[in-house]
Amino acid sequence: MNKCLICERKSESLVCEQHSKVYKNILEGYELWKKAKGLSWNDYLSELSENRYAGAWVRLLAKKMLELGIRAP
Amino acid sequence: MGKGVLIIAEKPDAAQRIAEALDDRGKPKKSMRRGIPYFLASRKGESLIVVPALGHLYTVCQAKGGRDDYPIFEIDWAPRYLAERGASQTKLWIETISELSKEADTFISACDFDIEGSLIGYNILKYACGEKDKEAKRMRFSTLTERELVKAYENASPQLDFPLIEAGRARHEVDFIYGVNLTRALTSAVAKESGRYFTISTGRVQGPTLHFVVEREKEILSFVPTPYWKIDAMVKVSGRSLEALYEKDRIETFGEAQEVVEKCGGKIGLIKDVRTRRIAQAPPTPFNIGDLQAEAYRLFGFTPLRTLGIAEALYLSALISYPRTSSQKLPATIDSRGILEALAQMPDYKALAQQLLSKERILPHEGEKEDSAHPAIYPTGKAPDRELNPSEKKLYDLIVKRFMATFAEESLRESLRVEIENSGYKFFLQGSRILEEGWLRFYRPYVKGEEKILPPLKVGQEVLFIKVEALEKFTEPPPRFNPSSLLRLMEDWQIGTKATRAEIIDTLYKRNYVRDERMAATELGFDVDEVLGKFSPAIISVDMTRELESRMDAIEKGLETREKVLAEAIDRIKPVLEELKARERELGEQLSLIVRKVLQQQRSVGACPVCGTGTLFILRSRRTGKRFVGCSNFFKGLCKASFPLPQRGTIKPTGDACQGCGWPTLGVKALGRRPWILCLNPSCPKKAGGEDR
Ligand SMILES: [Zn+2]
Ligand SMILES: [Zn+2]
Ligand SMILES: [Zn+2]
Repeated sequence: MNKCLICERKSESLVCEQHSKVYKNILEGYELWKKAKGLSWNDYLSELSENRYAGAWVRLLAKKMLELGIRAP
Repeated sequence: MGKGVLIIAEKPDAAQRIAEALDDRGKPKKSMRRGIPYFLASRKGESLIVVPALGHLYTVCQAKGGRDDYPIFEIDWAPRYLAERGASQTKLWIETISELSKEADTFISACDFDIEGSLIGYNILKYACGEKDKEAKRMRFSTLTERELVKAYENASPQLDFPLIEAGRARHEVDFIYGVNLTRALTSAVAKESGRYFTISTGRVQGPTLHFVVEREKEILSFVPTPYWKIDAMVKVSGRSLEALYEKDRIETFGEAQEVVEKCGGKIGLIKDVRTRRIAQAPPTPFNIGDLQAEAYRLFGFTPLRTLGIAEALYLSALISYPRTSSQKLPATIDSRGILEALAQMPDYKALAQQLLSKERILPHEGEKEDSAHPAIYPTGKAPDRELNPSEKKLYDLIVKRFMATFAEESLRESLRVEIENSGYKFFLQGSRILEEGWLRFYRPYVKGEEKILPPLKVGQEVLFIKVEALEKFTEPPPRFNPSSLLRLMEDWQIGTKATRAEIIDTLYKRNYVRDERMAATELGFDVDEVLGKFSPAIISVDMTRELESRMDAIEKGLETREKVLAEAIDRIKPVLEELKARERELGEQLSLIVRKVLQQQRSVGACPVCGTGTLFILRSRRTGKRFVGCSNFFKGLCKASFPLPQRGTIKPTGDACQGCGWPTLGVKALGRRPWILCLNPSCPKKAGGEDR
């Protein structure tokens, strides 16, 4: 992994520093979604990638994480 | 006979009002020199020359050096026609005023009474009239009505308001030094790297303001919504269906929401409690400019800049008091009773004004905010002497009704809360009615004052739950700013002034840093903010700007000198500029990438609907020099799509698809025509009925 999944800038992790907040928000959000609707990680990412209130960066990253089969940490 | 009195007004309309008010017969003679209007009046044997400025005739400029030099710390004031392109008109004004000043031996500044007005008058007296700033008098007024102008003339203060002038000079000088140096630093970094001349502007207030918008946009882009559930319930009681509110506004888990639905649906509930409460609501406070801008945006969708422009026109017609005010107070000196009496002569306001006049005491419900120079915005009561346009009518009506509402009584509302128990859960019915209208009556239709009347209900009564459903909802991201809410935020952070905030927001649009009414930062806005943040965080941080604002306020209060504050400002910006210069290469590389992207985007119209794989670009024919739209696949021999364009005016891709056919569209702006939207599709269904709008 050497490109940010959102902006394609060079990055050692999934996303660059500028987009690290997006990744963090997705992880934190999962705890709330799991409690609220008992969703699996993949179902969560899939719902998130189509949710109209989710930010464009969030939708994009959720979709790519799903495609790449990235598991919940 | 001795020489005359030269009175300097800020604008032609104001000059005319002043001359009419001061002339013994109310009929000054209008003259022209070099096409510049001025007015000759005579008052008690004195001859008055009232001459208008055209806003600022002088401006800050660099004392030496070329257009690309930076840093620039030595500055001067000069006529605008020497320092700016497109200001050649000011030459005629300055020459005319200069000539007229030789016919006078007494000088009065009658420009708007605030920082900008005081500075406009000062510069003219100093530079155009030959150092008359030291002997000139100052007229102070908040409306252009005859009564007030005469009073202002008779009681003119013996000298100019130097604290205001010095604060104004400091503001212009500091903003010039910041704006010119930062913009040149960025622009020259690009030029050195790429050989392109592309202005990348920022400023003392502009940088932090753009940063607000970018930060909000990032928050929205990174927003992860959380699901929750809301209970949607209806009960039937006394033959009526009423909405019942569940005790919890939001339920965090689906399981809990399901349980409420299963246990309560179709059941009979019991009224446990009926409670009434009286709520008094105080009248609104008088308008200051920020309040007026917010209200006009809420009600009419006017941008703050537009509201300011309309208010200015109403002021110049002597219909309202000076609009650039922070005050929410109406002092007794404005004679509110007299104004209400005058309003009572107007058919639209007669009934309401008379009701207020019948009160024993006429006292406004004032707000906290003050302004040392002007009261809150109020109508003068003068009947319009010209036909108002629809926008002016709207704003005028709003101002009059707000003015009247502030003198009215509070309104009294009774709210009713009925508690119902169903299977151990609580629900509520809510009703409300207006007991006393009070100020609501004066502020309609700008306040609704809605009622919700419930049938008579008592404790122990049974109600049937005819609907209990759980609705899935999601938390929402913070809203985008609109020009009005961004202006409020600038006020809250105390950056900029009431005279400049709306203009700075407008600049963000003009520079293509933001787009749309719900302000979204553009890619350019994002990139510029990011680069500035990386190379010198101070430019986009609100702190530096805010501290400077408070120092400049100190000048206005007479507590600090302009020289000292200017020196401090230079001390602050110097290291920033040094840093930018030291890293010019790196800065230039990053900015050049941005510029390239922008130039490319400006020409890119959208995906080619003909071949489906190319991109349409605005191109210019080598042969004919005419512009047209062509496909990027043309050069690969894959697509011959090409569309003619209007040759006059400016053309910008909208980025939106045509609503009729889905093809890319362009916005066209030509002189003397309304801007219009052009769909590229020659057989677009929307074109059948004429031109696409
Ligand atoms: Zn990134
Ligand atoms: Zn094509
Ligand atoms: Zn079309």
